[in-house]
Amino acid sequence: MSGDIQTALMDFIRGLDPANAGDPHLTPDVDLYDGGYLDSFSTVELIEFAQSRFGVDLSTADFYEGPLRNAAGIAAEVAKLQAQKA
Amino acid sequence: MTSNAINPLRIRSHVAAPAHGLDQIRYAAAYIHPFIRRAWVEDGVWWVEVSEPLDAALLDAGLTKLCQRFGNTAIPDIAPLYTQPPREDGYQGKLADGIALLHEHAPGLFVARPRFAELLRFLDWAMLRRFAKPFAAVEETYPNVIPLDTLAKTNHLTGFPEHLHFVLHLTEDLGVLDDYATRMKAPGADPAPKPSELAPAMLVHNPSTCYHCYASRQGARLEGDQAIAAVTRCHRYESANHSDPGRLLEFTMREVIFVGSPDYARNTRARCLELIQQWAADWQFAGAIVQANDPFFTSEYDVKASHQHRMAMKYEYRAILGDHGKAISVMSSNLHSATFGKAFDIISEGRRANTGCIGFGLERMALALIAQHGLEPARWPEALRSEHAAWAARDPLLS
Repeated sequence: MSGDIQTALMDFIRGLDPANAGDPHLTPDVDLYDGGYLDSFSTVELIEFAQSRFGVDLSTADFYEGPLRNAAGIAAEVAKLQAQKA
Repeated sequence: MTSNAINPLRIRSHVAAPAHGLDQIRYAAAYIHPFIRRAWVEDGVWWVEVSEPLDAALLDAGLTKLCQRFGNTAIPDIAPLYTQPPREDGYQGKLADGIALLHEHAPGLFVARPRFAELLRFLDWAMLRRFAKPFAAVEETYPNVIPLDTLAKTNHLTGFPEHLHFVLHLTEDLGVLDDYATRMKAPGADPAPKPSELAPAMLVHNPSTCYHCYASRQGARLEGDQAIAAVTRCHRYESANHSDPGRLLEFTMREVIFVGSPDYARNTRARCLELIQQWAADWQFAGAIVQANDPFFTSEYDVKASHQHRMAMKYEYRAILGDHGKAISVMSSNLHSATFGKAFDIISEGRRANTGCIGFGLERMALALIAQHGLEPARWPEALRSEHAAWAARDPLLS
């Protein structure tokens, strides 16, 4: 389940910038902020995407510290929130 | 009734001061109406000083809007990264000595007299030596104005509309040109053109130097990282805030700009912060390296300012203005992530280019230097004095 979420998140992040499509550095464990893949507005877009696609609210999540700085960590958080709702 | 009975040019508003953002609101209040000279908080509410009577409802509406925009964002109080104390021998110059070397032509627009102008030349040389050479920067020259549609790609128009200074010309119409010239022959004629005589704005004065660097690399596929040194005259219209020392309408911004991989942008930023500390210590230039955010003017402030702080994207060196006591930002070190790489489709070694820059406001630096160390090199700290002497020995106007 988390793998499907991660795949969907990676597709979303790749879609933020045409240059991401062929970028070999963009992996599930790359730091999305240090790598320049997310900024303030794309973080807001990501939160909206998580709400619409997975039905979870990430608006109070801290994306800047700890595990949510990469796609794998965000996917795990989404899966955890979905499990809590079930 | 909101007018103050004692002094009609001081107006007490009904708007309460919020918990956060007071400096930002104080600054932005000048943009509510051209009559506003300054704003401050007293007894928990906003007061303003105006040059002419002003409708209280308009004032309250403006202050309410600014409080909603800036008053809800708690910017974290982070300790300075580095603090340089004042020089140990107790000597201190005077800010007034620096200001006396500037002739104010219009609010915020200054002519620098010889000693000040000389200092600007020296400071530019010193900043290149200390901050461009370590990165093997190459020099480029940029215009002092930039096409409006280019600036639009940087999101500057949405973030800082209050600072824009457009460049306009009379429209290509012989009737308009002849009519304008004829009117100007009359003694005491108002030189301002009619709005209908002006062509649409296509250029704007540079708000920062580095935008030209990114724009001139539109669509580039770069191999390797790049450090570029450039200097331009920049404009920021700051309304009544130009009365604050150092808030110039036009100023000289020297920059060193970094374009390349994310690691390159971060590593050069880290090195810049080390170089700033070394510079401040060598020159005994009292101040501090503090985390900062750009003063986004519009409703984007909350999201963008918070992001800049959380990601430590902006540091400033705030130098003490000597006997004046206040501190002003004389340089800033910025990380932009992929913002400009994306805006101008710049690829570096197969991935979106990241950028960063370090910028120096030379007039502000000169004012702070005079305020701290005075005008006489003989009284300057040793490292500063010897650098100045090395420069002066090669300067064609001094040697």
